[in-house]
Amino acid sequence: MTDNEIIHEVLSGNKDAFALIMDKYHNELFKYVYNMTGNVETTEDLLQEIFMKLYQSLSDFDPNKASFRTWMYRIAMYHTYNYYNRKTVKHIDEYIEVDLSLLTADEDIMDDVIKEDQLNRILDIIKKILKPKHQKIMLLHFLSGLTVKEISETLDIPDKTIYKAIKTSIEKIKKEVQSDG
Amino acid sequence: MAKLNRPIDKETMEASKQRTMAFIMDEIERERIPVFRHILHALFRPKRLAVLASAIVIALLIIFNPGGSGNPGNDNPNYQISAETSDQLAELSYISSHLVTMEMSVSDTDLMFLADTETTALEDNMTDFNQYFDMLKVYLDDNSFSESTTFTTLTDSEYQYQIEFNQDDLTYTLLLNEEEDNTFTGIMTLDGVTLNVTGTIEENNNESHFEFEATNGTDEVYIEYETEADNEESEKAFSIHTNINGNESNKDISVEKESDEWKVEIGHNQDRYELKKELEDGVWQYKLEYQVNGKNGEARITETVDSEGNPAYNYRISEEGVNRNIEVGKPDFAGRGNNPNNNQDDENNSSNPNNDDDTPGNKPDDIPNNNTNQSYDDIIDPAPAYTL
Repeated sequence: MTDNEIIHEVLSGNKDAFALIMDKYHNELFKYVYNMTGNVETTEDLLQEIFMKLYQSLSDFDPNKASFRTWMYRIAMYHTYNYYNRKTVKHIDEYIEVDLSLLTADEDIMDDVIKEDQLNRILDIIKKILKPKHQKIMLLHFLSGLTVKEISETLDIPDKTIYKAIKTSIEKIKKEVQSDG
Repeated sequence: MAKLNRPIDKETMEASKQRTMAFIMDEIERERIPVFRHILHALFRPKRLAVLASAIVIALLIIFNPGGSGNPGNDNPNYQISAETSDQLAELSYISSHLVTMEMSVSDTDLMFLADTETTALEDNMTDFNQYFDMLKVYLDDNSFSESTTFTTLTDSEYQYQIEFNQDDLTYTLLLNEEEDNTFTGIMTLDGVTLNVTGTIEENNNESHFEFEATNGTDEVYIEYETEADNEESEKAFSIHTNINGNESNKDISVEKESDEWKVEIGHNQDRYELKKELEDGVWQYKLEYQVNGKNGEARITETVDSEGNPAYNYRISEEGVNRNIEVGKPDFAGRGNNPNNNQDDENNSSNPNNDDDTPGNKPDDIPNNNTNQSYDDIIDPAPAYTL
């Protein structure tokens, strides 16, 4: 079944069909949220809230405006961004060495995991130096599996603008890393 | 696959998946969506308040109290605007801007459709309160104005000083001249809106006192502001009188910080609200206690998003035996999302000096606040099972 067919089922009264959506997208969303939080319990709590939000908002989803996946990410992104924006940033060693090649990783090394402290440091820098709009773009760029085109659809921002925001943000992050080093 | 991934054990993730799916399906089973929800949704989609439909020009006139002209705590008799006072000026600009906008939007409410349902006094006053909350939670979040405020002495401008600060994605700029002791004039710009500003400040060691009147000739905001701080405690008190669109209103707002915990109290005519921020089950929640229209109640407020991804607030209200769970859109505010200059791509937005973001303006970041009036179309359950 396609996403739209599943949603139609749910809205037609077959609530159990929502389990298919969760089964399909749980791990993908889990990784995105966990990449941000670094905490399994917090991730689980946030995911439960996100899935409830998705379920309660299903009647608002318009397949003519966006794919279900990018609509889902929009809700997940705002929900997790609120968490990211509110949480107290732990003191992170400014002298943690960040591998700058991570920031411009190509497709070949996307599957690699990086050290916790490096990711925490990058998230800390994003929060510290980027404006909220660019924070959201970079969090999706780094932590989700969305392509630039999908980020564009999720945020309803032209992809050209997303490309430029990513480029300038990475330059800023690199500059910050190098100034700390 | 994302570009930056934390290591995660697959079994842990799978176990979490099973718990989450079981939890959600259980919740879905227990959820009872009111039949009228969809009807309300169709009839009462949030309206966008056209706050910027016309430019607002507000003159802020700060009236110096002659009786308080002495400044014993300041060795310099020619007291000037300084980096030390810029935080308070930023704070006052923020509060006064919100108040003016708040008064404008209060008259544009459409909550009457709930009159024949069982509602709480808080919901009846939600237009006011939601805007108070949105304005004042900056204190509960401990988002210090000083962290985002920059003070600059200008040498090549008609103004002597520039104070710039950011709150909630908005950039405020104050350009000021000192007129005489403790008195200044200037302008404030906020994403396309310009305000004329005059004012005075008194400072004495850890205490500051301001009086100011904001007016555009017909509308006015008058605020007396006092603040006192030491290492452990901080207290701010705003006594406010507004006359907007011919509607007069009195408000008292106090903000206290003790042992790293903030408390905000609001008095609006006869109504009283007390706000705190508490950590519950690992999630920060705002706790409200209130007395409104003679009724006492409590509410837990959490930040959430609506189905369009716009920020919203979830209120779990318990008022004299009535429990309600509602979602209210974040209120609109001058400059947020309605500025046509802020709806362009990078290459085109340089005409707006306040828009230095590279992203286009309007969606979704810039219009999280188009839910000007309360969006009751997302009523989840009129009688949810929860414990306050």
